[in-house]
Amino acid sequence: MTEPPQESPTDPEVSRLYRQQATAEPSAAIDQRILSAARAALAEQQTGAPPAVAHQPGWWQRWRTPLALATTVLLSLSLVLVGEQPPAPAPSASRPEQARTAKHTEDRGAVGRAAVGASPPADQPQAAAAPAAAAGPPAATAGANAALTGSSEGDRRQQADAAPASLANESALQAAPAAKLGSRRAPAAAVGAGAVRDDEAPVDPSPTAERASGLAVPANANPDPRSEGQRAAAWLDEIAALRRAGRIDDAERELREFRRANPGYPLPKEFLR
Amino acid sequence: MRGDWSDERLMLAYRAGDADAFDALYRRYRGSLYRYLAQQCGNPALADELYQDIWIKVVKARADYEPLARFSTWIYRIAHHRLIDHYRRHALPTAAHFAGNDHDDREEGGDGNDERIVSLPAAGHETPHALHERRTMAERIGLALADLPDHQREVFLLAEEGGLTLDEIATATGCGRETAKSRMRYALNKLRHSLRDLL
Repeated sequence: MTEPPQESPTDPEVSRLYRQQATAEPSAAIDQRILSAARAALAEQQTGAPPAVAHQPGWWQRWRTPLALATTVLLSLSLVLVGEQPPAPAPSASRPEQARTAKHTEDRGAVGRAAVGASPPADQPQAAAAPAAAAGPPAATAGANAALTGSSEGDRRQQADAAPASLANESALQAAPAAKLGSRRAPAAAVGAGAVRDDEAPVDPSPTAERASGLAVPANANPDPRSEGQRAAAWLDEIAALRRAGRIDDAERELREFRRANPGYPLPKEFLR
Repeated sequence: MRGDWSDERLMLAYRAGDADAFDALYRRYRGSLYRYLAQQCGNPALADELYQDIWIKVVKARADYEPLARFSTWIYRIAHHRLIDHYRRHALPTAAHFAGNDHDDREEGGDGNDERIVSLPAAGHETPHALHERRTMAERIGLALADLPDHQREVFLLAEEGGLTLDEIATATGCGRETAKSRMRYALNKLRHSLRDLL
C-alpha cells in the first residue's frame, strides 16, 4: 500500500479512479436560480439601501437637528443684539461723553429723591424725567433738559400731547428720537416716559445731574443760554467744593469734563491756576 | 479577463457589485461543491437543497467577505457547517459523529466497514460481464466512499474536489492538522483496500 506524501493528502491512483466517475453536477435550473439570486442581491443593493449610499441620508439625519438648533440660536441672538443696540447718538455728543453722562446719572441717582425738594422749580412730571435719563443717554438728555428749562403752561400742553405718542415708559428708546425733534418736544416725551412710573423714579435735579445732562445736549436742542450759564456756575461751585474738601483729583477730573462740555465758558481765576 | 482572476479577487469584485465576477466564480466551484455535498449526504435531492443554501449564504455574506484565507477554504467551511446544521436539525446521529474532532484518531478496522467494503462486488470475484451489469465502476467508488466514516469521507472529498491542503482541510472542518492528516490516511487506506481490484 502506498502512503500518500505528507503534504499531498491524495493518493494518485485512488484520485484517478475517483475522478473517472466524479461527473455529477447541479442542474441548469439550479444554476440559473443561484445566478439570478446573486444578481438580484446586487440590484437590491444598488437600488435599495446600499450601505455606502445609506450613509449619506444617515449623516443628514444625524446632523439635521443640531444644525437647525444652532441656526435658531444664532438668529435669536442676532435679533436680541439688534434689539439691544442703543439708538444713534446725538450729533453733538461723542460716545465717551455719552458714557460718562450715563455714569454720572447713575452715580447721582441715589441722591435723586432727597434732592427733589431742593431742586429748582420743576413740577412733578418734569422731575420724572430721571428714569428716562437712566434708560438712555439721549432720553436722559431730554429729560434733564426739561428739568432745567422749567415748566410752563405751554410745556405742559406739549407734554400732554406727546405722552400718548410716546407711550413712553415702556422704552426710553422711543423717547430718544423725540429728543432729536427739538428741545421743546423732547421734555414732553421724557415726561411721558416717566409719568407712569413716577413713584419709582430716582429724581436727580442736582446741579451735577443737570450738568451731566447738559453734556449730551444735542446741538439742535437749542437750550436756554441763561439756564446753561446757571448750570455751568453750579458745576464750577461743585468743583470748588471738591477742591476745598481736598479731593483734588476729583476736582481736576470734573474740571476737565467741564472744559470739554463748556469750551467757551470763561473760567474764574481760581480755576486758571 | 476574469478567467485569470483569483477566486478571492472575483469574490471581492462581486462584493463591489460585479455580477459577472460571481458568474465566473460560480462556474469554478459548481461541480466540485455539488459533488462534495452529493457524496457527503448521499441524497441528490438533499444535495440540491444544501447546494443552493450554501451559495445563497455566499451571496448574503459578500459584504463581510475578507480574503483572509483562500476562497475555497471559506466556501467549504460554509458547506461543512451547513451539513452539520442539517444533521442536527434532523436529529441524525451523524451530526455528533461528523462534528467530532477526536473521534477518528484511531484505527476503525474493527467497526465492520472493512468487512463490508471487502464484501462489495469486485471484478476479481465476478465475471467482468456480470460486474458491468451489476455495478459500474462509478457505483463501486461511490459505494466505497459511502462506506467511509463521514469525517474521513469529508477529508477525502475536500482534498479531491476542493483541492484543499491538510491545513486548509483542518481550517474548513475545524479540526487540527494532524487529525485531518490521520483521517485522510485512513480514508485512503480503506479506499485502496476496497478498490484494490481497480487500481
